[in-house]
Amino acid sequence: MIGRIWGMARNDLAVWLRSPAAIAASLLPALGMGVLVAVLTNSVGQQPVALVVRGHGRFAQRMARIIQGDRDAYLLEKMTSADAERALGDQRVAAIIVIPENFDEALGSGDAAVDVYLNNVNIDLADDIRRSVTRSVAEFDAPQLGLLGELHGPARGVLLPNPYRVAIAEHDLRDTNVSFLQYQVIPIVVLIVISIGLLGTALLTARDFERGTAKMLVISPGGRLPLVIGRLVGGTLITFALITPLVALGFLTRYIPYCAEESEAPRWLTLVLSGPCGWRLPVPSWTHGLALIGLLTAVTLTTVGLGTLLGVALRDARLVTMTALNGAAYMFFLGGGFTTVPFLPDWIQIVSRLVPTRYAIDGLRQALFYPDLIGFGRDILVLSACAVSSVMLASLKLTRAWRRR
Amino acid sequence: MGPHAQAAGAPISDSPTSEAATVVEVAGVDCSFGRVRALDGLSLRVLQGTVVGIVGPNGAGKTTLIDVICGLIRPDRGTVRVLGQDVAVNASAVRAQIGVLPQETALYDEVTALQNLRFAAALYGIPRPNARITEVLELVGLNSRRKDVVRGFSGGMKRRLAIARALLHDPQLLILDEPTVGVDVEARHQIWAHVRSLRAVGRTFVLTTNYLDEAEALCDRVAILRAGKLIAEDTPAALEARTGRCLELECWHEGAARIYERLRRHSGVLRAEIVDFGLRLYLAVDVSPEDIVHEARAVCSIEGFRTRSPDLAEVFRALTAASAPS
Repeated sequence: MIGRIWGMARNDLAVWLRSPAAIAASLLPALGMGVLVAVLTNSVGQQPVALVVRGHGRFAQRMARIIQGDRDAYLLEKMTSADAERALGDQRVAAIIVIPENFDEALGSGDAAVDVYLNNVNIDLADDIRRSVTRSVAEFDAPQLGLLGELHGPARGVLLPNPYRVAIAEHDLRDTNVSFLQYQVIPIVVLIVISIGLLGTALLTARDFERGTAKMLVISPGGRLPLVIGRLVGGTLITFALITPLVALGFLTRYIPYCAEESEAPRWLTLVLSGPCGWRLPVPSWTHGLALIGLLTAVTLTTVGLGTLLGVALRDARLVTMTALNGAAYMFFLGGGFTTVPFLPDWIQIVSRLVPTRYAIDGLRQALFYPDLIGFGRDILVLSACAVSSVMLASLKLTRAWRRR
Repeated sequence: MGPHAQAAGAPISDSPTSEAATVVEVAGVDCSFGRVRALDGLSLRVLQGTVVGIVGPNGAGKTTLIDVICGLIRPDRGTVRVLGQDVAVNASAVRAQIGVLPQETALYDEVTALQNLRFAAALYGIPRPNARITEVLELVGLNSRRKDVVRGFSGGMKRRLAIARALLHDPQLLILDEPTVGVDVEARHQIWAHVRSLRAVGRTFVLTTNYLDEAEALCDRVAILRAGKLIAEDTPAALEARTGRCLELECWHEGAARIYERLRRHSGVLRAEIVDFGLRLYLAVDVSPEDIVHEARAVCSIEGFRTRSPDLAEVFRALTAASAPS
């Protein structure tokens, strides 16, 4: 029994690893979505802006250094006035920030100004630039309320008396150390798992009907159950074989951060989680590491079961490919792939309750970003239920389909 | 006695291996899919060490019969015993002793020949299969290509690899479903050679084919199916004798039509057909061709004539035409 299960799983893995077109079909849409998210994140978060420093005084140079140090808001390039005007005219920059020639002199008389020339119709993008320039000016005047204050909190940053009558007392309930891009990598990881699990198992199942190997399988002695289990194990192995290096790469490049504070986990767990390159990473927390593995396993089993059902229902490689990729895309969007679900319209929020991806994305964010795992119990419970029902239904349908062929 | 009555359940007395054990025994099997009756009261015996060919037009029930023998389809009525075991009761044990070459070849094109056979070994529970894999690959002449991906194989090589897979667990009965469909002439003859060599060492074969020359070349006995019924089952020679001797008359088309009208009700003429060179007649064994030629000459001028034994294609046409629903 074990030999037949392992034989089936190993064969599925071998067939899949020798199917470069299928691997590309399952990975490219998800990776393309990742590139899209990265580009959108960059283009929304950072604007190309020209900085023209005409003043040569000490304060003008300090103002320039503060503006140049704010890398969150701008893709800043220092230019001459002529180049900056040309770039603005060509729409290569969204704004020009000018520190005037008489900046130091004007500062003494309280008339100093930083000129901002905006060439942008989008109110959100324009406001981002406005807020960032204001923040730089605030940092010039009162460093405790500027960028340093934002990064390190007011308590540590207060070196000068507060020039305002009201201070900001910020209380962070958790570290705000996850960038928007890191936040958005998680749905991409889920999308890759869905695409591989769904398409991989669906294609293997459909091809068995197309090329007649389904008949060969059922003609062999020993019953169908080991073969069905083998197919599900094979689909799981395929998904893990492709997702493990990607997640490891994500850890290594820090695009996927994880909770590592006060960890007592041994080094081998890091290696299990992130492969041979894990020695370069901080040791993850036990609970969060297991939560991550459990969640990825539950999502994989859910999609492997769904893929098997798709393969049994359609029995055609082309139909299966189109349906699986479209299905994965819908599951991605409805599960909050592009943004957090509570930010979406009510009807999508209601629909997303029925989509396992939502729980996968929420759960993964909990497992990777949040130290307290709040809400993770619900996510893993829903996903486990989805995995069990999907695998059971797939086993039943595949057994019946092979009987009838 | 008509051919159907003669075939169904009749003892196989003229086989050269009549003392051999029965490997397959199909008795009174009915099998329907909805309104379509795929097998209709079919009975057949296959003796050890013989090659039995199942021939018939598309939809005759050949593949259904194979599926029934393998235990993949449970018949509505009747019994199937393979190597003494009832397939309905012990399908798994029966399958362990059958090697099947499906019509579609059913190989994993993406992986190597070796990986295909290793997978088959896992399915059949063969422990430490490497030696056996080498043995069967040598047998079909593919050992030097064992590490090549199957996608690059020709149709004939794929068939040979599928035969190697069917032989891997050393089965007593081999079932080949249209083994040479879609392969070139050379590959076809290679496959025939493999079947003959395996038969020589005592293997039993059941093969379906649409090629009557294949059945004639390979089979000890041929079973002819039409619309799920077994209409004849005998040695190729006996089936040819049953169709009668073939007499071909060369004459003008008008003359052929007149001779046809004159002779078609002749008791010694089993069948007649007008062909491009004149007329083809199938004569009962007790009729003299000279008498028929003499009668034909009384109707019109005959430019020439010849007699010969019918081939299996003619037997097939004669039998299936005779049993065709009116």
